[in-house]
Amino acid sequence: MSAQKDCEFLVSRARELVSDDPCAAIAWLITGRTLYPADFNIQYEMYIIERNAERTDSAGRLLYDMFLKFPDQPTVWREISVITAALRSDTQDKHAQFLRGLFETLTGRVQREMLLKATEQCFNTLEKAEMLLLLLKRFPESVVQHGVNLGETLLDAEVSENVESPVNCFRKLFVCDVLPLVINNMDMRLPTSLMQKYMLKAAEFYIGYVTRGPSPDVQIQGSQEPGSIKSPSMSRGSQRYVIDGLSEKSSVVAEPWEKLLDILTVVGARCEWQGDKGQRCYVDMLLRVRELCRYLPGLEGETRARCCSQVVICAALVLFRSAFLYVSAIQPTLFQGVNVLSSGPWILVEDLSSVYNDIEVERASVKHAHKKRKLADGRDKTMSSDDEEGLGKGRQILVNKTDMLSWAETLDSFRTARESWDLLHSHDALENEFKKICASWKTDSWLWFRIFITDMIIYQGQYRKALSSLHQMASVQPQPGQQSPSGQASLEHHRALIQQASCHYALGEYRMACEKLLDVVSGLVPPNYEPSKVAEDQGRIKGKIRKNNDLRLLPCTSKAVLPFCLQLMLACFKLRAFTDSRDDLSLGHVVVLLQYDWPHGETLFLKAVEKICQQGSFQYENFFNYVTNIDMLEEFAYLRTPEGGRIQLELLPNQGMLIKHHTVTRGITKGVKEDFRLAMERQVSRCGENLLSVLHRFCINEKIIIIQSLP
Amino acid sequence: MRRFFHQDRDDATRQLIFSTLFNVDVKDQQAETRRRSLFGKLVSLSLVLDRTAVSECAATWLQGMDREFHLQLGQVLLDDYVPGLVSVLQNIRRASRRFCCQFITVVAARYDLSSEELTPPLELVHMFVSWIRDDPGLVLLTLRSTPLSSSQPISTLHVTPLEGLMCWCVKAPLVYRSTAGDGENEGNTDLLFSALHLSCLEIIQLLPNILAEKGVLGHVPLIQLGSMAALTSDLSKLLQRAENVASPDCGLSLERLAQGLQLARVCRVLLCCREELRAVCRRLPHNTLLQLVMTGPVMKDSGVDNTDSEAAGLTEGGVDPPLPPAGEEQVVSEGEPSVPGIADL
Repeated sequence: MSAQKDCEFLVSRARELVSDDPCAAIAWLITGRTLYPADFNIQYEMYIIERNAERTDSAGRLLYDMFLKFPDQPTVWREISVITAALRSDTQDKHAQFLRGLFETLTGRVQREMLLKATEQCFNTLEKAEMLLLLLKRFPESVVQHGVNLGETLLDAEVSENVESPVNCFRKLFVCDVLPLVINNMDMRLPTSLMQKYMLKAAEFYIGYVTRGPSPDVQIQGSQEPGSIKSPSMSRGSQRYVIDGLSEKSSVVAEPWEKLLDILTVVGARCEWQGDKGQRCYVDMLLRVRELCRYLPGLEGETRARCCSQVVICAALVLFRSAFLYVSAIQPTLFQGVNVLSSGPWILVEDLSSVYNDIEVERASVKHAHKKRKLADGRDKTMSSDDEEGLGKGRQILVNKTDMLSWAETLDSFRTARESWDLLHSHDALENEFKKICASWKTDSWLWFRIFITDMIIYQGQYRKALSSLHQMASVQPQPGQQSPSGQASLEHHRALIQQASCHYALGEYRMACEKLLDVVSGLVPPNYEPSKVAEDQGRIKGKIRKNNDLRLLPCTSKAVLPFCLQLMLACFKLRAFTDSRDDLSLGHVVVLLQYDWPHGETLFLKAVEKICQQGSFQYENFFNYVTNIDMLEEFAYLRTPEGGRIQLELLPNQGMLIKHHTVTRGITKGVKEDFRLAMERQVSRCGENLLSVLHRFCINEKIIIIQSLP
Repeated sequence: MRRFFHQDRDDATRQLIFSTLFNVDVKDQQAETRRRSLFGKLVSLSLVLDRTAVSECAATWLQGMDREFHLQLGQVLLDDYVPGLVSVLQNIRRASRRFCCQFITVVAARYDLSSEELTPPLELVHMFVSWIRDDPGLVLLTLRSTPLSSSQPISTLHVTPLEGLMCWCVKAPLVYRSTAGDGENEGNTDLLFSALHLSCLEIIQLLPNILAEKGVLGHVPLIQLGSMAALTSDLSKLLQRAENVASPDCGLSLERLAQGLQLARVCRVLLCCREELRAVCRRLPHNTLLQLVMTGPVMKDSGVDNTDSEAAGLTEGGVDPPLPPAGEEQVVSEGEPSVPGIADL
């Protein structure tokens, strides 16, 4: 018998026995090993038996023996790589846990040797990095030698592998695993520039991670029909997110903002930044750097540069975080993993709740506002936000507090973000630094940030700029009907249109405002009209004196958008209807629109009646189509009576659907009188109709006339 | 007496009282017998009553007693509790690891499977296997606490149960087969003794380190060639009685013997050369593994003494680091002729 045959015999006997009597099999192999200690197969067979029986201690010992005695055996390496893979993975299955346990039975020295050698055998960058990371985590003393190199390898890999997003497997590993090891290792001397570079890499990753969009493979249910704009939060919980190249579990980053703050704290301490060491919250951080900013002009050289970096990095992080918090509240569907209890989205628009106010008061203030807006827009190019005045300062943002539970936090975030932005633009040096960060992160392509910026400039009253920003946004976001079939896009599209309408209105461009808004309204399904509730809501606001330049966060729902549209149209026509010159069409529209929220607009309605009385006649052929308010019908019926002043009312349409409003006045015949009476009677029976349906029909059917009749 | 020993006293005091009671220097044969009998009864009683203190004292004290007495005590315990009350003996393990080790040693020496009376009840084997699998170091406690020197007469050593247990494992396939007989139990019995056998091999692998620590590795034959010769002689008689020498049971016996001999020799607790081994086994029928063990491995490079490579195999694949110093390994080849690689003899 040859040695080879002996060994084969021993192994084959063990294999025969192992299933029925594993102890006997092992006895054979133990004996075999003493006979042929240099034979690999005997030992491997022993290892396999122990491994399959999941006996960590003996399997670990045998593996180590093989690792030492047969370092060139591919089988050993395959085995070691299976184990290291289990160490890297996060699977909780029994076998992986066993393999991890097996590795733990080895002594530190052996683990280290094994990992280093295994790393050498790795050719895949990610795998190699993960392997080295295992080493660094277990043996902190190796961080000095390998830490920075590993970090740079990972950052290089992003470039060489053409990874687009900062949220990628290499960056994740760098930011979440390598960086904390490196910056917390006090044995290492790291140049400030490198620390800052790493800090920004980490920030870019965490911000990118937090603001990541929903996964494309998980469709958001509902909202298919454009009319029902509702919260698509239902499928949120089940959404999964996987960073390419990583497992689902290792793709999860817990408490990203806190982690980022941790890194910032360490980096700050190591870069000798000013202020106390433990920066435990973002808001405090803003206060601190704002304070620091005061000394900036007096500083020079390196101190100034260090101070600049600190201010810019801190303020930028506060900005992005607060802007994210704001946007995640007003448009939660943009992000994955944002826990939305509130409905969304919300739109920052001009507050029109004062539209029912008396026209005289209004006119004066509107004119004043417009003048200011023009001024502001004229300075758009040169104006940085800190020298805004009037409109931009102290504007109130109204919100229905029962609809948005976290309204206070949301508005706080918006304010903090604006303040950070202002701080970053308070010195050229800061602005330049900040712009560099923005350029390298390509923040221009961040839709969510664009949303914040737009709202911010709307707040500042720079409507022209806001409009161009909104147009720009349309180029960043998916077009309706394309890409996203989830209804997300149309929702998004609506949002932008409504905001554009609001800006046009603020600029006095009423035709544009109505055009945009009527586009949205035509796609809505009218909700049921609940007069009592609305009246109550308005009643509450009525008590306060509203400035004309307040803003409102409007929920992007049919229920809220349709009334807003009606109010905006009312606001547009109100000014025209009550001019000295006669404009029956506008006055008619006003009457129709005043039905909503009745009797809130009673004062205005009486003013309109007064004007009709003055004119002695009134022609509005759509009257019976859209006026169903019993009080109004009564008033108009009264106007025709002798007591009412025998006002000549032409409220019945001619044969055609559309009649130019300057049609030749018809003679009043008995037949017409009879028609009017019948029409009135019929109209009274329509009082129970859903008012919003009537007004919605008005918006759709009269869209062209409405738009054409505005400047 | 039980209560007396149970009272709070420190170990040394207890030990002293125990010695005073039993360590009477008596020339009187009758008194001696009575003393021994009393001692046996006390230990036996302490088991039922689960008195740790008494068992501990007894264990220490037993160490100083001769083999004769160990056997007597074992017999007392066995008479009292086997086969009917084996479960009482479970208390031995709980009472004292050291005494437990003694007990296993006594029992292993007592039963040699030569007759039905001397065949341990399976319940007892089960108990031993579970003890030893849970705690392989258990059976080495006596060895660890016994001072050894190469000059000490080997015949007085009865410090491990290995010889006895090996004997059980080797004979079991033939003995239990002829006594028990029903199919399902056979398989279980095989597995039971396989486990015991593997434990023995694993324990043998622990021995070189212990002996090296004591500086007697290669000098103290914990497993004696004489015992092995007796075993092979018994085995050959058993095999002669077997219907078919080529049956799996016979093969199993021979293979266990071969494995035990190989491990014991390589671990240098069986001090003999292959020539002597062949002599001991010459009356046994052919078995491939036994053949391989007697002739030794085929050498790839015939110039090298293969015993060295075996020793190296043991230490590298060995179970217990720290490894014995390299110098010690050289001793193994002393007196052993180099066995050239011979193909099938």
